[in-house]
Amino acid sequence: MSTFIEARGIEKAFMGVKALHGVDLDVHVGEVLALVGANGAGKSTLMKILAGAQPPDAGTIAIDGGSVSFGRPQDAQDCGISTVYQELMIVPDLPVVENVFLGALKKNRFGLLDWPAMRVEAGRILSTLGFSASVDALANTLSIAEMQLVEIAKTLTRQSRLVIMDEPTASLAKEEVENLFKIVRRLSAEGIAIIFITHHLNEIFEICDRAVILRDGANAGNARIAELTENELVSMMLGRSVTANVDRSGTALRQDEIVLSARGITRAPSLHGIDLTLRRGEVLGIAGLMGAGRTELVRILFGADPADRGTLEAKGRVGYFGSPRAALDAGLGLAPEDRKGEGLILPLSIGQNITLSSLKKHVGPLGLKLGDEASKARDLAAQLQVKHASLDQAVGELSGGNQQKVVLAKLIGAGVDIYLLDEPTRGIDIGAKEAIFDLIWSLTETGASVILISSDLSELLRLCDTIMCLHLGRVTQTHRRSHFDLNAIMLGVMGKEEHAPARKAVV
Amino acid sequence: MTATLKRAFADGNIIILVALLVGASLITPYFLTPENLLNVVRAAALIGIVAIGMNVVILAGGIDLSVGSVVALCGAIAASIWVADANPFLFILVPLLVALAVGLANGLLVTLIGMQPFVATLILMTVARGAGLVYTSGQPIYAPYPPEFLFLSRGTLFGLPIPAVIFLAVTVVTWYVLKWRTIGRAIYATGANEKAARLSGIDVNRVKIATYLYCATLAGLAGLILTSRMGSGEPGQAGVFWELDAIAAVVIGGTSLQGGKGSVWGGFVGALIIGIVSNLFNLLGVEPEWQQVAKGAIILAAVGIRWAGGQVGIMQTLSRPRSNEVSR
Repeated sequence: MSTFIEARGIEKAFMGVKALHGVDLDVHVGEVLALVGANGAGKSTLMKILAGAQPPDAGTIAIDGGSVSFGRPQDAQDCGISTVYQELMIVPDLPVVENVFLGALKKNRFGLLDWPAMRVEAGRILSTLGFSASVDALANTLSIAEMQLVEIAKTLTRQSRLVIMDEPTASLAKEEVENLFKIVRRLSAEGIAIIFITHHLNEIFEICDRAVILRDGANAGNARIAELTENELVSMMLGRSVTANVDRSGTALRQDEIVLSARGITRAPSLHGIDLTLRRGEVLGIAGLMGAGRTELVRILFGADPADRGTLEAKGRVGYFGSPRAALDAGLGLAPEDRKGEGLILPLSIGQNITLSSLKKHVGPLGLKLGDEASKARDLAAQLQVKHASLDQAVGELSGGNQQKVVLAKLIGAGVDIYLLDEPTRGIDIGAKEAIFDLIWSLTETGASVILISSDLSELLRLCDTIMCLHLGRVTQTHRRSHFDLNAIMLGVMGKEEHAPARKAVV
Repeated sequence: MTATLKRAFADGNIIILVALLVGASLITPYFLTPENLLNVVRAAALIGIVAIGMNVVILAGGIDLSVGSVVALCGAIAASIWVADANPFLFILVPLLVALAVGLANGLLVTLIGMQPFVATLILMTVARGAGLVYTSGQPIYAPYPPEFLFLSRGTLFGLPIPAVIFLAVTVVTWYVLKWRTIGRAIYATGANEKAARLSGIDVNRVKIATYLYCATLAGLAGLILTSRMGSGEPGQAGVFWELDAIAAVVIGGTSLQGGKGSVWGGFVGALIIGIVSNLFNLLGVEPEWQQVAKGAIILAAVGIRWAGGQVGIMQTLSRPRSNEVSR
């Protein structure tokens, strides 16, 4: 098998932070290569460099043995490299045929645009991809899967030799994934190489010939799929450095009283029959990738979105909550993933944000007792060590960590004892992270329970009594603290069911 | 209260107002006479009452284009009821109920149907104006109103014209509700960030409907005062462009059309500024057509002054909390 592209020693830094430290990557003609790595491993950066969207700081790229350098995406395309981004580059108000030939419109011998020829060719290519809509349909009438086919057709009209697909199955239904796999196999048989960026085990093991694993911006492994086991794969992704043996400080509480239990929570298209049980004083971690349904799950528990099916029993009360207010009154509180967009009212003051969910407690015969409200806000801000100049400061002026503390203070002030925390430590500094960890522990010591969503597995291992893995809206694995196994949790996140047989290396 | 004053300063309102007063009295000495100042207040009061309601809707993130039509519709209905029955109770109650119905329709279109406030209230603006014309066959209704009703426009209390008293009362009540009631806080939260407000346990739909009801009621009240002043219900002529004047007052007063930022003083001072300027133009004999142009210039100036204040940073510094109150 000859080598199509050969990248050596690729380095890239963003604002002084190294994203890639000397990564090597070979892509052979016609192979399907899985590019695998945890979040932040450098996959996207490497892909953008190959696509000509960003220049590397150092390193060389050779195509068919000859050195090249890409100043812009067009240069990479001229060398036969096309990219299908996760955010599809479709112009919604143009018809399919124009989208297919966007940027490479065909002209006839009079120098005019040759629509008949383009329509015929677009139709021919699209029909081989299993595309059933008309080439004259406007792109905004297409499904996501159909738009993706248009993107792939675009790469085919350009005589691509390498197609980079960034998490191409992220928003596809099962049959659509099957169709995509068929297309990938066909392209590969025609000698077109594919780089498949994915987190899903089944995709890596079903469709790919070889896997290149990145970790922390460096090469962490390179193996033929036929010679690789799932366990080896996640070991390479995670490295050996992460240990699960940090003791959770003080779990004095006996966790036998069930405060929340859900059966078969379903909401199309993101959740399919989730069961979960939360005990008093427990920290239940939810591990999962973007799109696994984590946020959707806690929003349903909180009454922010309706569920299609399933049952919920929380604090002795049966049924879903009809609104966030109802959930708050029952003692459930949500710290949303999008802190600035959904957790806080940025123009309002720190104090007003803290008391927003518990304002009713400060109503007297003449209306709000503003002094009473302010002193309560001051107490909560002090308890959570929110660093601020004045409670009258707009909350938008605080740092991320302090903003998150304000969100948590709001929940505490509302008397919440089941905390739903969606990525509470994202984008905040280490000091504030530790403060939030301490807070979670001290809350559970007083009998509160926590559902914690995090993309950071080491954080979950440190904090949680139980970790539940979510993959495409289903629970794949559940682990108790005494049996935490990082590799198994990572496999669960990538879609491996608890008792499914391991994929064996074919020796 | 001092904080409120400081903030009013920071918004630039007081500065603009004082500058106008000084300027106007320099231009024409008659301006500062008590009777002329009463004229100013009387003229500003009607738009002012409407602007206070508009201010509340805008704070909650909406807008209400139907207020001018509600003014006309309510005035016409009041006049017709008096002509038909002369029941002093009904002819105040029924117009206000009609105003509430329009407000409810606005609120439901925005919340249940999810229409943009601009579109929803545009519909009601047209429908209410049309309904008034259909109801009266397009003719003004002259009614021999009783003195109690004429008192609404012509009476005085402690030397202040009644419309001005109502304007002040409405302002104070609105200030109280915005600052001292939970719904007031909910209005700010909803206007600034509806999603976060909902997740914080605020029933944002209820809040929005309440603001449209309040705004429509105040517009209805202004309609009653107007019809009392004119001695007739004018379905076609009354309240034309008042929605725009009210929005102008709110903008001049510094309430953000984005919602969630501003205070009732915005609508209050904004209406006064418009009142002062039109009075001044009347004293100077400027034609009404030019007054329209000038109004645009005032809005531009008000926005410009506030922008300049933001650039220089002086005005923010005035409103900034002292930074030595660092908590432990």
